[in-house]
Amino acid sequence: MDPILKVNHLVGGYSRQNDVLHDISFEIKPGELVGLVGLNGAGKSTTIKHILGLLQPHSGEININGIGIKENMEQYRRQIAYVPETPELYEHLTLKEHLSLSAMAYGLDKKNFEHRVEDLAVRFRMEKRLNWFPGQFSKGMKQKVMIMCAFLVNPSLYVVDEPFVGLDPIGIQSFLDLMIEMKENGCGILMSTHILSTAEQYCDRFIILHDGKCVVQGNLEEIKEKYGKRDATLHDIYVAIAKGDTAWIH
Amino acid sequence: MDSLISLWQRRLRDYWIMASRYWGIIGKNSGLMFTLYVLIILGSVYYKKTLDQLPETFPVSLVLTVVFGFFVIRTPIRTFIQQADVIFLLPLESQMGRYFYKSCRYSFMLQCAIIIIVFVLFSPLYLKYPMHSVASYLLVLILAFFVKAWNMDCKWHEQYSDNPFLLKVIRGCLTLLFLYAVISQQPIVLAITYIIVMGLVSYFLFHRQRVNGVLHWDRLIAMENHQMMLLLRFTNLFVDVPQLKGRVKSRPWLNVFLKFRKFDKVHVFRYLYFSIFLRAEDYLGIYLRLTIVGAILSFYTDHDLFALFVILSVLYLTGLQLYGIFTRPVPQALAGMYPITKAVKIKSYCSIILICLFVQGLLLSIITTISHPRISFALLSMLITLVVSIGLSYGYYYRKLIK
Repeated sequence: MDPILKVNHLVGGYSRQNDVLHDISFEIKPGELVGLVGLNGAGKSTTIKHILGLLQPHSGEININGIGIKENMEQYRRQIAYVPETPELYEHLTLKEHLSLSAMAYGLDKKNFEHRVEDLAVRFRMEKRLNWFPGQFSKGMKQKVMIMCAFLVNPSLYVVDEPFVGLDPIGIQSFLDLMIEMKENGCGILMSTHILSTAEQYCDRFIILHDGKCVVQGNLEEIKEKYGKRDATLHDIYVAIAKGDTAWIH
Repeated sequence: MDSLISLWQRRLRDYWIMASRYWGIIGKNSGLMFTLYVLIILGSVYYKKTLDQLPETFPVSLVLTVVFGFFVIRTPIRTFIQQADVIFLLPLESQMGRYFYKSCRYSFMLQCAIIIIVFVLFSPLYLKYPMHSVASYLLVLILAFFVKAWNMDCKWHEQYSDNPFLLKVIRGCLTLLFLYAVISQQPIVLAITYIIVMGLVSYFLFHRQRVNGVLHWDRLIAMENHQMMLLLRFTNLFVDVPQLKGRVKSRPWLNVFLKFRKFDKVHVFRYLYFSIFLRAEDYLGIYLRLTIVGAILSFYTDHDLFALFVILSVLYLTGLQLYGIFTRPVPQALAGMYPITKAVKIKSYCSIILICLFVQGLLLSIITTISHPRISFALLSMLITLVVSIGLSYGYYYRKLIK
């Protein structure tokens, strides 16, 4: 099966003089939920910004379904939906208007849109707030708006950056359910998170970043095997790497 | 605590340094100062004229009561409290009595100064009537200070109430009654009765709030922010104040104009830009003000050429003001990620500018043609509208942005 996302020897960062990411390569196949884990400052958000096309790679390339952003920006972007770490909304638009603009931009027809909005609003308990402005929302509700906008459209790849912060338990569960549904529909998902227990439970594979390098990747079994302790949890391995115990990697 | 007092003093000083900078900026705006002089001179001439024409039956006591009442009842307290104080100063609340006392005293003195100015402004009106004298006016002033002090004390205790609305009504009514009794020179017994009532209300109602309630810090912060905003908003009339960016008004009655005409890509940014125009940063306010000023000027001028020049200038100025709609920051995770090309985005922007300018030009042309009823004039003004609105939007802005 051809991968949806292909990151090939990516070197990048915010300025050419200072590389933050060093030679990162990974793939996401259809139906895969991949966890991107690492300490603060490991390069998770920078990796995500490169995938979104907000930063220019210093070398290496990123393709989505075989297309790079330089070849066709419109088609590249249409295949990604993004949930950012901190919600960012149009202060002057209502929730319904946010959703409408996303639907229009990604080419959803009106009938389909109404149907999807109803479903999403019920899932996230926002059905009575469709005509509210962001000024009236709590942080968790704002995060729900971002998630609803992303899951409204039908892209091939979801990029979610630390989505659980501020969400109530219902919100977290609805979000996880949606991710599972999208996986079953054949989408790929890249999720950056610090909530390792949830990641362990839901992710098919992991990419562990440390100091801008991809130190290890694979499913949990493969990583444990490499680490040498079968009963280790993702948490143990993560802490070991963070403390500099990286001899087993090479 | 001494450190709390020095904190208060430092904050007061910082505020005045900041405020004087703002006033400096406003003062340097020479156009403004000139306009102010003209307004003051014109105002005093008309004031004199109006006074001379006032009939004997004019309810001067009532009018003065309402005017002075407004300034006496409106009692904001400058506490210089900041949002972070809820975390850092909250534990010290019991020791902050002196801090808040200083705040109330400072606010009282500032507001008394304003009352003096109002009194001076209204002195010609008061002294015009033979039963009034300078001495009686001074007595009114001193009693106004007294009732202001009472208001300040009550206002402070309102901050402990969960629902101060009723307290405000009582305070307002008593103040107005007292001021009216004093200004209209009613028997002194009445004023003394009011003073006694005020004392009783203070003791049994306002001071009780403190026993039963807690200090509402969020309200203190809101009050403080509101007063900061007054200065910023005033300055914003002359220069851009960055803190005021991002203001939004929902204006639901305008939603008839804001419809999803077609549910497709091309209309995404059209909707976005038009909604910014209608709801954000007061673009609509600028647009309407320019339109009204233009309409009045071109309507009342006899000269055709001048009227056309006014229409042209208003369109041009409006076009310049609306450029900010395009450069206004939008959420990166939404608008920044939409799979829509830059060219479509720019065209959407230009189409919104074209519509706004065309509608404005059309309105101005119609209004002006009423006072210049000639076919040639109507045609010329429409021609100007077309040329400027298309030229600015699809001509100038499109070229500028597409680069």
